[in-house]
Amino acid sequence: MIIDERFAIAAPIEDVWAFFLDVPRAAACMPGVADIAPADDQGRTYRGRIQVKVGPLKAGFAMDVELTDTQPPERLALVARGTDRGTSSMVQATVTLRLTSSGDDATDVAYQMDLAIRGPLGRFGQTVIRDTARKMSDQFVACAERALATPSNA
Amino acid sequence: MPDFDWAEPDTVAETLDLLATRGEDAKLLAGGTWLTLVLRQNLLFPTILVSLRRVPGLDRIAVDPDGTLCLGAMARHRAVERAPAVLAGWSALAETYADVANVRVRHQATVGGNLADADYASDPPTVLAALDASVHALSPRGERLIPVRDLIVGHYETVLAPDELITEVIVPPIPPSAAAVYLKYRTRSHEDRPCLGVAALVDLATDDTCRRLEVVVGAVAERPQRLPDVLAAATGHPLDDTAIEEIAASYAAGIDPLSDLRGSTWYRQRMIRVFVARALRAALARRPPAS
Repeated sequence: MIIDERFAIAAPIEDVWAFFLDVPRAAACMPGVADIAPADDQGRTYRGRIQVKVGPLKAGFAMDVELTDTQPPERLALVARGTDRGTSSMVQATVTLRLTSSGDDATDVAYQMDLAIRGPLGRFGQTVIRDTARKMSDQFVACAERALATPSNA
Repeated sequence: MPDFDWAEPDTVAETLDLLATRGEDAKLLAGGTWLTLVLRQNLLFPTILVSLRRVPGLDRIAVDPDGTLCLGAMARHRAVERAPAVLAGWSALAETYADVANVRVRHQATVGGNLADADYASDPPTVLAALDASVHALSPRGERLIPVRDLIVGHYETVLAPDELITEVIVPPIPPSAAAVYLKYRTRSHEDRPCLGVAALVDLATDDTCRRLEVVVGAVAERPQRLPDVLAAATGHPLDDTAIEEIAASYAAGIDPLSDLRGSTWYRQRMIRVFVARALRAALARRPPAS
């Protein structure tokens, strides 16, 4: 299942890039994410958990995240893999972000996510999964916009 | 299947007590046509199932003195579709329940369970929303009346609290000058869920202008779709061919349909237009001849 989205952030491309490369900071914007921490010294791999809720159904995935391609400040690719022990379901998300500067304080972000869910959750219904992924990514974008609109001390 | 406790309370009060003490992991079991599926697929892990089958009175189907139809939460689809009172005053509703899945499922599935599941690809919520039905919900905090239109808020998500129980669905009378229909459009097999469903209610004044109009489209988004602005604009005007086509086009433009095995977004957009127009014509044709 491929999800394509585009959004604009009112911040310079360098700031947007720094935000996404700071995986724990960016991940904090994803609803349901917890305990994300580096898994190596190079900042390439991370571990964390994500809780997903659809009505009464809940899944908690233990996640491994790997940055597979970083071309500052334009392209970032990552693979996230996770397992939910409760439902014995697996998720894999391949995410590519492309940043384009559209002014001093404006960056266009195009992202593509290839999402695969296997196991009971995957059989549950692609429509519901897609809508849920969309909703989560909308919340992520809204949070990223807020985070970047607030000038940090860095 | 996961392990869980089993309870069969004898009263509504006992049921509410169990829900309150066992918290969010207690699940109500009505007909079980949805719950058993997610349990068997290992998607839901309740610590206790609270069956409603022993609670008396929850399967009542009756018309109140003021003409309101009351459907108990545990009334089976099959009972609703065959109830003389429903057939006489709310034929569109009887037809809708008769058109769900197959007769075996309908003997099991309940009015309240269907609404509480909030599955997008379901027929009854669409019609109940068009008929301006409401649910009575009970919790330790008391009773509240929730319009079906406001009940479903997302995929499998309602405004009901975990300790809240639907006891009854109430449906206002359909005036003698009005008529309602539900058109179910299946793209796969006869027993399948809808690609879309359109419920329409039309009431015309003596001068043939629209006194009241309801159009609700189901199974195209996470909740039934009703466009109040479109309905308000059509009210007070004659419901001729031009008006019907305009309403249908506005619904097609105003809904962003989802995509699933029963139809893509593109296809649903076009079918909304076709079936909204058909439903309006069918409702007009069903109105009693002017006396």
